Amino acid sequence: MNHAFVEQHDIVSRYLRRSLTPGEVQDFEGHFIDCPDCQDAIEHESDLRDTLKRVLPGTVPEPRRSRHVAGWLAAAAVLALAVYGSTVYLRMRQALADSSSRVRALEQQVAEARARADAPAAATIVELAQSEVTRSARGSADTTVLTVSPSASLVVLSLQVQNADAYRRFRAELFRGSPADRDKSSVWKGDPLSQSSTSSVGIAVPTAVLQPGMVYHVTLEGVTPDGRSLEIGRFPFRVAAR
Amino acid sequence: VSLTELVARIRSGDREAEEEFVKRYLRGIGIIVRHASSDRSACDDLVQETLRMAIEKIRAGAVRDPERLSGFVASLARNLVVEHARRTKARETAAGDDAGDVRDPAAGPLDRLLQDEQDAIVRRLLDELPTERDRAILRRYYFDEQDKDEICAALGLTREHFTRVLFRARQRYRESLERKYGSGFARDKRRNPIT
Repeated sequence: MNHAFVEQHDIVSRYLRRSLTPGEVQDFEGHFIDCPDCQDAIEHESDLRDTLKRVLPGTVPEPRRSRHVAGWLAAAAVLALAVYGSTVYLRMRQALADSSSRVRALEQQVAEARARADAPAAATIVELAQSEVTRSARGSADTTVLTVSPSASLVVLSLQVQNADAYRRFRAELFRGSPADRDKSSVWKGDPLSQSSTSSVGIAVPTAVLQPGMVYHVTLEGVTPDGRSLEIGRFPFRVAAR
Repeated sequence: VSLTELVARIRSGDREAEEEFVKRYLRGIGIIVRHASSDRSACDDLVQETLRMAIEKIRAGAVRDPERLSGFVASLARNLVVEHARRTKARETAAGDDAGDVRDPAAGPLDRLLQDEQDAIVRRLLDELPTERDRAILRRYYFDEQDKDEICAALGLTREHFTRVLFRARQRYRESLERKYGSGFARDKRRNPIT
């Protein structure tokens, strides 16, 4: 394997996507392990790929969560069946000019974040019923209105599902626009998801992807034990204008 | 130094040749290990273990064709990762414990700071792209992970245009990083594991 071949066949990118054959991986690794130019190319490509995934419009990543907080969120989604509530999660902000002091400040914030994550608080919780899809599709104005607290970084949506036990896992995608819109665009994905109870699936959506006054809808798919993927429903809502 | 000479010197017990070997292969082994292993905390140990075993095998005369040294070291690194994963899984199964997400630490504050700065660079890069279609190319390629032909067909592009947009994006990204952090940024970078 040589540089011309690597460039022509997009080998660096395919290596990072894990789409090379085992033989190609072996050849490429045997080449770049002693090739600083290819090592540069791999690290830059990997960096660019990861960074673009973070910043491209509508591709806000899942927030980093500790095991403890993830467990809490799952519990919160279950509680959402009975309780509407709003609580606060944390958000790091940094305004220090000097790099070293910025790092120290971040370290302190991380410690505070961890302490706060242990407190019984978290996110805006909203229950969405599947039947609202039908009403929305008919043009009714009674779509759920979601009020997002400016200080919350997550909103937990509890999607009501009949026979949630019938699915092995779920995946959800959040679109800007109503289900009937032609120009809807994907702003968030959750896959795989587990059911929160026998009748609901909870998803934690970053509030950063939600704009005041806009209509959104979540599509929920379930994967059956035999591996079939079925659309369960669409869950529209509107974010309240500030 | 040619591989034949390097292998011969290591076999004869030349310590400087061993250091040369480590300098030459350290970074490449690191990339392979971080790409293959999901256990970030074990990567440094696996790299060290690869270097140690490779030198032992060269000393013992196990590398008969020095021109294939690179392939040999790369395979050794990958095999050690596979073996480590197998042992870890067996241990977890025996203990009935899923330690996967505990082992993998979240990014530290410095990582987050650098990540924020890289995000800003890429946002600027996206803003500077001349057309929405060029942004769509990057989105489809890097986020949706569509392949080149699929994207060209969907957007009505020639492969040349696609390659040009990608090349410019990569170039601009690299230049921006090097302006900010210096030309050794990629070589010094061990914080953001290859996934």
